[in-house]
Amino acid sequence: MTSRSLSIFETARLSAFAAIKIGLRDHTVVLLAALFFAMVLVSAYLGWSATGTVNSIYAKAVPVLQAQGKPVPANPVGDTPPLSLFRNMVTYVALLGALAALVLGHQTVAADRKAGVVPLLFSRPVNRTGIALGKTSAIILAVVAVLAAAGFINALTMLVLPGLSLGGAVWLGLIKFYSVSALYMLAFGLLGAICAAAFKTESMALLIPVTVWLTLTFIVPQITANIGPMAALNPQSANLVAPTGAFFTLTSSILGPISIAESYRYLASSVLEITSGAGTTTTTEGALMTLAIANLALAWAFVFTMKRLDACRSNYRD
Amino acid sequence: MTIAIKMNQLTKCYNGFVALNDLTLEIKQGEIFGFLGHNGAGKTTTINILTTLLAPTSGTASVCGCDVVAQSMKARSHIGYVPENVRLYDSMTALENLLFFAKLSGVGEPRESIDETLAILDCPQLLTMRIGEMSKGQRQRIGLAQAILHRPEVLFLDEPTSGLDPLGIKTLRDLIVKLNRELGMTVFMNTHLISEISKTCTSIAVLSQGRLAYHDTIEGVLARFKDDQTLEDLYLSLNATQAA
Repeated sequence: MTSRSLSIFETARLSAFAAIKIGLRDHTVVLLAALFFAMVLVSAYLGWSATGTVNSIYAKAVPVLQAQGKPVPANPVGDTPPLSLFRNMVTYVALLGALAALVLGHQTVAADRKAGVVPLLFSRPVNRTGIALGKTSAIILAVVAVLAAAGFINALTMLVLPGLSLGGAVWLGLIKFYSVSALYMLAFGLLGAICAAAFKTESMALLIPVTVWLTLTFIVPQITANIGPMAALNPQSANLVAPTGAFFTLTSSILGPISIAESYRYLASSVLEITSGAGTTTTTEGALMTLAIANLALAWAFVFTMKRLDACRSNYRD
Repeated sequence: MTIAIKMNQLTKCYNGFVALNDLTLEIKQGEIFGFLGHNGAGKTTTINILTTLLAPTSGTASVCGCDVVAQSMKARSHIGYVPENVRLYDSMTALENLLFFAKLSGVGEPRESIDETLAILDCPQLLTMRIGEMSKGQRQRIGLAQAILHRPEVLFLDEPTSGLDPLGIKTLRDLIVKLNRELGMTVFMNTHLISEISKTCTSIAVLSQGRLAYHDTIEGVLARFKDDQTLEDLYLSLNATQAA
């Protein structure tokens, strides 16, 4: 019998595969992913339906206008940015996508703690950083897989809709939108994983990240830009100019850099050509930087938390 | 004979509470060592330190010559560990669980190792069964299997018979002896059951309130005491003395 110590990357690969396998058998994760897909399909249907209605009205109006000798204007569908048909996706990603990622991230660590295998894992000649990297990879793979499937549905929808002018820029925009969405969802996946490793009870491990998610999505935009909870879900609100005044200047300068929900809404709305972002102080570079730094910081925090996880008291108390 | 496990003035404190106090002990290679003590005596703390899961407050410990703090990775490759109430991934089959742990232990031919191990433990029929569907005794066997897939030199068992019925206890006891005799594994077993000790172990130590109260070979114990009852008396009197 031969045995050897594994490298960090081998450990990460094994840890990632195990996390994915367990995740696929977890009903909560699968249910949330299915719900997200259902919303993607709804979004696609709404886009298809709205465009179909405009096309149908236009088709009926053209012969009437021609019979009256009036000029026939261009089909308004052609003037609509094709990607803006998926404006609902911004809301779905911000709500269901983030929540699904959070639960997925939670499960990658909680499954080990609930199964009581942490002492078995940590008493083997493997590096804890490798295990953390494996779980991070599993979260990335799951998020990318879900979003790739959603992107595929969106791409199909655009292809079957008549009247849309599809060019390279549109396809690139779709890729950009899903890349930004992946960054946003990954941040919540990592947050879920950190809390799953850090807290002694599972209820706290879920409650805390959900509270953070609610705060970032609904409360921070209100404090920094006076955007109400319902408006915060509307991608159009990315175009709103923050009120002037000492309070909002102070809060936006303090909370702005950590406001990943606002950064995501701004980036997603710009890419989908829902809003121009003109007039706001947010920049594409700044928003991207916020998302990237948040992900890097959370990834580091996850590795740190996994290294600090007490294997002897790893089972949840509730 | 070579020393498999060595503890030198091992101490562990939790927020001022001394769980393990100045423990010095040597266990020879090939022994089945029974670590006796009542609940809270410090047995699990000792096993946690020896399996590198917990750092001692002071003192040193080594397994197969590897310091459990300074050479923790090296020490881990020599050990197998079965915690109390072994639990694995419920949604996975025994094979999936064992493949994962075999690969994690760096076993060269994981499938061959699993088949061999389950044959030794007389439970190849459990291979395709989900852990969640298994009885306590079946889980315990798979738990034992995951610990010996890489054929460690030292096997740590924390209360291995906890929650098992009499038949399960006897079967597990026979398996421990088999692993020791056929694979030459040194076994370190935490327990508070006197009957387990006299029927399985080659040497014992009694821990009371974190301190070593007694240490001898089983021959030494049996020469001094006639049967299990007297061994139990010794255990109870040692704990009573320490408590006083």
